Amino acid sequence: MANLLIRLTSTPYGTSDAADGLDFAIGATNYGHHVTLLFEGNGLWQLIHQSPPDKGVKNHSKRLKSLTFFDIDACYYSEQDRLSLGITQDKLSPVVSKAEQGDITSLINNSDHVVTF
Amino acid sequence: MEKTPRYWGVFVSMSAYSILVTSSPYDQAGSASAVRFCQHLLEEGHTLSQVFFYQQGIYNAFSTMAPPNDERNRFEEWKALHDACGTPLRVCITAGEKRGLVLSTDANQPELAHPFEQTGLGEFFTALHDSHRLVQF
Repeated sequence: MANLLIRLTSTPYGTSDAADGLDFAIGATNYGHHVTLLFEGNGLWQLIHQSPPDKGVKNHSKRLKSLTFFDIDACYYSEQDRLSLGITQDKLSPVVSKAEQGDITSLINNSDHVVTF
Repeated sequence: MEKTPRYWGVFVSMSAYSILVTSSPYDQAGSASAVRFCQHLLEEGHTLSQVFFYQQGIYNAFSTMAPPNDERNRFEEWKALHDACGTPLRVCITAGEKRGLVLSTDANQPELAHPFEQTGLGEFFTALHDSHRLVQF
Protein backbone atom coordinates (compact mmCIF):
# COMPACT_ATOMS: atom_id res chain seq x y z
CA MET A 1 0.00 0.00 0.00
CA ALA A 2 1.34 3.44 -0.89
CA ASN A 3 0.48 6.79 0.68
CA LEU A 4 -0.52 9.14 -2.12
CA LEU A 5 -0.76 12.88 -1.72
CA ILE A 6 -3.00 14.31 -4.43
CA ARG A 7 -2.73 18.05 -4.87
CA LEU A 8 -5.82 19.65 -6.39
CA THR A 9 -4.89 23.03 -7.82
CA SER A 10 -7.59 23.78 -10.39
CA THR A 11 -11.02 25.36 -10.34
CA PRO A 12 -13.95 22.92 -10.23
CA TYR A 13 -15.23 23.35 -13.77
CA GLY A 14 -12.69 25.42 -15.75
CA THR A 15 -10.79 22.32 -16.82
CA SER A 16 -11.25 18.59 -16.32
CA ASP A 17 -8.47 18.51 -13.71
CA ALA A 18 -10.75 18.69 -10.68
CA ALA A 19 -12.99 15.83 -11.83
CA ASP A 20 -10.08 13.75 -13.11
CA GLY A 21 -8.22 14.30 -9.86
CA LEU A 22 -11.13 12.91 -7.86
CA ASP A 23 -11.44 9.95 -10.23
CA PHE A 24 -7.75 9.28 -9.69
CA ALA A 25 -8.07 9.56 -5.91
CA ILE A 26 -11.06 7.22 -5.74
CA GLY A 27 -9.31 4.76 -8.05
CA ALA A 28 -6.34 4.73 -5.70
CA THR A 29 -8.36 3.84 -2.61
CA ASN A 30 -10.36 1.27 -4.56
CA TYR A 31 -7.09 -0.55 -5.22
CA GLY A 32 -5.66 -0.48 -1.74
CA HIS A 33 -3.74 2.78 -1.50
CA HIS A 34 -4.16 5.53 1.10
CA VAL A 35 -5.02 8.98 -0.22
CA THR A 36 -4.60 12.44 1.23
CA LEU A 37 -6.07 15.37 -0.67
CA LEU A 38 -4.54 18.82 -0.53
CA PHE A 39 -6.36 21.76 -2.08
CA GLU A 40 -3.97 24.50 -3.12
CA GLY A 41 -4.13 27.65 -5.21
CA ASN A 42 -7.20 27.78 -7.43
CA GLY A 43 -8.13 24.35 -6.10
CA LEU A 44 -9.64 26.11 -3.10
CA TRP A 45 -12.48 27.27 -5.35
CA GLN A 46 -13.60 23.63 -5.41
CA LEU A 47 -14.45 23.98 -1.74
CA ILE A 48 -16.87 26.89 -2.12
CA HIS A 49 -20.59 26.33 -2.38
CA GLN A 50 -21.56 26.38 -6.04
CA SER A 51 -24.73 26.35 -8.07
CA PRO A 52 -25.45 22.99 -9.64
CA PRO A 53 -23.60 22.61 -12.95
CA ASP A 54 -25.28 22.12 -16.31
CA LYS A 55 -26.86 18.81 -17.15
CA GLY A 56 -24.27 16.28 -18.20
CA VAL A 57 -21.63 17.74 -15.91
CA LYS A 58 -20.84 15.92 -12.68
CA ASN A 59 -21.65 17.91 -9.54
CA HIS A 60 -18.25 18.45 -7.98
CA SER A 61 -19.54 19.60 -4.59
CA LYS A 62 -21.60 16.44 -4.20
CA ARG A 63 -18.59 14.31 -5.13
CA LEU A 64 -16.48 16.01 -2.46
CA LYS A 65 -19.13 15.29 0.18
CA SER A 66 -19.11 11.61 -0.77
CA LEU A 67 -15.34 11.11 -0.43
CA THR A 68 -15.67 9.54 3.00
CA PHE A 69 -17.54 6.63 1.42
CA PHE A 70 -14.37 5.93 -0.54
CA ASP A 71 -12.18 6.04 2.60
CA ILE A 72 -10.82 9.47 1.70
CA ASP A 73 -11.00 11.39 4.96
CA ALA A 74 -7.65 13.18 5.04
CA CYS A 75 -8.49 16.39 3.17
CA TYR A 76 -6.65 19.66 3.69
CA TYR A 77 -6.48 23.14 2.24
CA SER A 78 -3.59 25.57 2.19
CA GLU A 79 -4.25 28.29 4.74
CA GLN A 80 -1.73 30.54 3.00
CA ASP A 81 -3.61 30.22 -0.28
CA ARG A 82 -6.95 30.80 1.43
CA LEU A 83 -5.64 34.10 2.74
CA SER A 84 -4.16 35.02 -0.67
CA LEU A 85 -7.45 34.37 -2.40
CA GLY A 86 -9.44 36.26 0.24
CA ILE A 87 -11.76 33.33 0.99
CA THR A 88 -13.23 33.32 4.47
CA GLN A 89 -13.07 30.08 6.40
CA ASP A 90 -16.83 29.83 6.78
CA LYS A 91 -17.16 29.57 2.98
CA LEU A 92 -15.15 26.35 2.81
CA SER A 93 -16.62 22.87 2.68
CA PRO A 94 -16.57 21.14 6.09
CA VAL A 95 -14.77 18.12 4.59
CA VAL A 96 -11.39 19.91 4.74
CA SER A 97 -9.01 20.90 7.52
CA LYS A 98 -6.52 23.73 7.55
CA ALA A 99 -2.88 23.10 6.64
CA GLU A 100 -0.17 25.66 7.34
CA GLN A 101 3.05 25.62 5.31
CA GLY A 102 4.77 23.39 7.85
CA ASP A 103 1.85 20.98 7.75
CA ILE A 104 2.10 20.83 3.96
CA THR A 105 5.78 20.01 4.18
CA SER A 106 4.94 17.19 6.57
CA LEU A 107 2.22 15.89 4.27
CA ILE A 108 4.70 15.74 1.40
CA ASN A 109 7.42 14.12 3.49
CA ASN A 110 5.03 11.50 4.79
CA SER A 111 3.82 10.55 1.33
CA ASP A 112 5.26 7.89 -0.94
CA HIS A 113 4.01 9.61 -4.08
CA VAL A 114 2.73 13.09 -4.94
CA VAL A 115 0.49 13.79 -7.91
CA THR A 116 -0.98 17.12 -9.05
CA PHE A 117 -4.19 17.94 -10.89
CA MET B 1 0.48 31.76 -8.12
CA GLU B 2 3.89 30.19 -8.63
CA LYS B 3 3.65 26.85 -10.35
CA THR B 4 5.22 24.09 -8.31
CA PRO B 5 7.00 21.24 -10.03
CA ARG B 6 4.81 18.33 -10.95
CA TYR B 7 7.33 15.66 -10.08
CA TRP B 8 9.07 14.89 -6.84
CA GLY B 9 11.56 12.20 -7.85
CA VAL B 10 14.98 11.35 -6.53
CA PHE B 11 17.14 8.75 -8.19
CA VAL B 12 17.66 5.80 -5.88
CA SER B 13 19.82 2.92 -7.05
CA MET B 14 17.94 0.08 -8.73
CA SER B 15 14.42 1.37 -8.13
CA ALA B 16 11.21 0.50 -9.89
CA TYR B 17 9.44 3.50 -11.37
CA SER B 18 5.89 4.10 -12.48
CA ILE B 19 5.41 7.04 -14.80
CA LEU B 20 2.15 9.00 -15.06
CA VAL B 21 1.79 11.05 -18.24
CA THR B 22 -0.95 13.69 -18.18
CA SER B 23 0.63 15.90 -20.87
CA SER B 24 -0.41 15.87 -24.50
CA PRO B 25 2.39 15.16 -26.99
CA TYR B 26 2.89 18.61 -28.51
CA ASP B 27 0.82 21.14 -26.60
CA GLN B 28 2.86 20.69 -23.44
CA ALA B 29 6.52 19.90 -22.82
CA GLY B 30 5.75 17.21 -20.27
CA SER B 31 5.54 14.27 -22.65
CA ALA B 32 8.94 15.05 -24.20
CA SER B 33 10.39 15.29 -20.69
CA ALA B 34 8.75 11.99 -19.81
CA VAL B 35 10.38 10.19 -22.74
CA ARG B 36 13.82 11.60 -21.86
CA PHE B 37 13.34 10.75 -18.19
CA CYS B 38 12.41 7.16 -19.02
CA GLN B 39 15.41 6.83 -21.31
CA HIS B 40 17.72 8.04 -18.54
CA LEU B 41 16.10 5.71 -16.03
CA LEU B 42 16.93 2.74 -18.21
CA GLU B 43 20.47 4.00 -18.85
CA GLU B 44 20.99 4.24 -15.08
CA GLY B 45 19.83 0.66 -14.60
CA HIS B 46 16.44 1.31 -13.00
CA THR B 47 13.28 -0.58 -13.76
CA LEU B 48 10.51 1.10 -15.69
CA SER B 49 7.50 -0.76 -14.34
CA GLN B 50 4.83 1.01 -16.36
CA VAL B 51 3.86 4.18 -18.13
CA PHE B 52 0.23 5.21 -17.65
CA PHE B 53 -1.38 7.78 -19.92
CA TYR B 54 -4.19 9.77 -18.31
CA GLN B 55 -6.15 12.91 -19.22
CA GLN B 56 -4.60 14.58 -22.30
CA GLY B 57 -1.71 12.13 -22.01
CA ILE B 58 -3.75 9.64 -24.00
CA TYR B 59 -2.99 11.65 -27.13
CA ASN B 60 0.52 10.18 -26.99
CA ALA B 61 -1.05 6.90 -28.08
CA PHE B 62 -2.49 8.15 -31.35
CA SER B 63 -0.73 6.14 -34.07
CA THR B 64 -2.13 8.57 -36.64
CA MET B 65 -0.15 11.59 -35.39
CA ALA B 66 1.86 13.16 -38.23
CA PRO B 67 4.22 15.88 -37.03
CA PRO B 68 6.42 17.77 -39.50
CA ASN B 69 9.54 15.92 -40.63
CA ASP B 70 11.81 18.04 -38.47
CA GLU B 71 9.86 17.25 -35.27
CA ARG B 72 9.88 14.09 -33.19
CA ASN B 73 7.02 11.63 -33.51
CA ARG B 74 6.01 11.04 -29.90
CA PHE B 75 4.13 7.83 -30.67
CA GLU B 76 7.27 6.39 -32.27
CA GLU B 77 9.39 7.50 -29.30
CA TRP B 78 7.15 5.65 -26.87
CA LYS B 79 7.10 2.64 -29.17
CA ALA B 80 10.91 2.61 -29.28
CA LEU B 81 11.02 2.79 -25.49
CA HIS B 82 8.69 -0.19 -25.23
CA ASP B 83 10.72 -2.13 -27.79
CA ALA B 84 13.88 -1.49 -25.77
CA CYS B 85 12.59 -2.72 -22.42
CA GLY B 86 9.07 -4.13 -22.76
CA THR B 87 7.53 -1.59 -20.40
CA PRO B 88 3.72 -1.65 -20.52
CA LEU B 89 2.30 1.50 -22.07
CA ARG B 90 -1.14 1.74 -20.50
CA VAL B 91 -3.80 4.11 -21.78
CA CYS B 92 -6.73 4.97 -19.53
CA ILE B 93 -9.76 3.54 -21.27
CA THR B 94 -12.14 6.19 -19.90
CA ALA B 95 -9.89 9.13 -20.80
CA GLY B 96 -9.21 7.62 -24.21
CA GLU B 97 -12.76 6.87 -25.21
CA LYS B 98 -13.92 10.28 -24.00
CA ARG B 99 -11.43 11.81 -26.46
CA GLY B 100 -12.21 9.48 -29.34
CA LEU B 101 -9.35 6.99 -29.05
CA VAL B 102 -10.90 3.67 -29.84
CA LEU B 103 -10.02 0.09 -30.60
CA SER B 104 -11.05 0.18 -34.21
CA THR B 105 -10.13 -1.21 -37.58
CA ASP B 106 -11.69 1.79 -39.30
CA ALA B 107 -8.80 3.62 -40.96
CA ASN B 108 -10.59 6.94 -40.44
CA GLN B 109 -10.65 6.58 -36.64
CA PRO B 110 -7.71 7.22 -34.33
CA GLU B 111 -6.73 3.73 -33.37
CA LEU B 112 -5.06 2.41 -30.29
CA ALA B 113 -2.06 0.63 -31.77
CA HIS B 114 0.50 -1.74 -30.36
CA PRO B 115 2.37 -1.44 -28.06
CA PHE B 116 -0.16 0.77 -26.26
CA GLU B 117 -2.74 -1.09 -24.19
CA GLN B 118 -6.19 0.09 -23.24
CA THR B 119 -6.54 -0.40 -19.49
CA GLY B 120 -8.00 1.29 -16.46
CA LEU B 121 -6.87 3.01 -13.31
CA GLY B 122 -7.21 -0.37 -11.62
CA GLU B 123 -4.29 -1.90 -13.53
CA PHE B 124 -2.21 1.21 -12.89
CA PHE B 125 -2.82 1.22 -9.13
CA THR B 126 -2.33 -2.53 -8.87
CA ALA B 127 1.11 -2.23 -10.49
CA LEU B 128 1.90 0.83 -8.34
CA HIS B 129 2.09 -1.44 -5.29
CA ASP B 130 5.36 -2.78 -6.72
CA SER B 131 6.89 0.60 -7.62
CA HIS B 132 9.26 2.56 -5.44
CA ARG B 133 8.62 5.87 -7.19
CA LEU B 134 5.83 7.54 -9.13
CA VAL B 135 6.78 10.48 -11.33
CA GLN B 136 4.21 12.61 -13.15
CA PHE B 137 4.76 14.56 -16.35
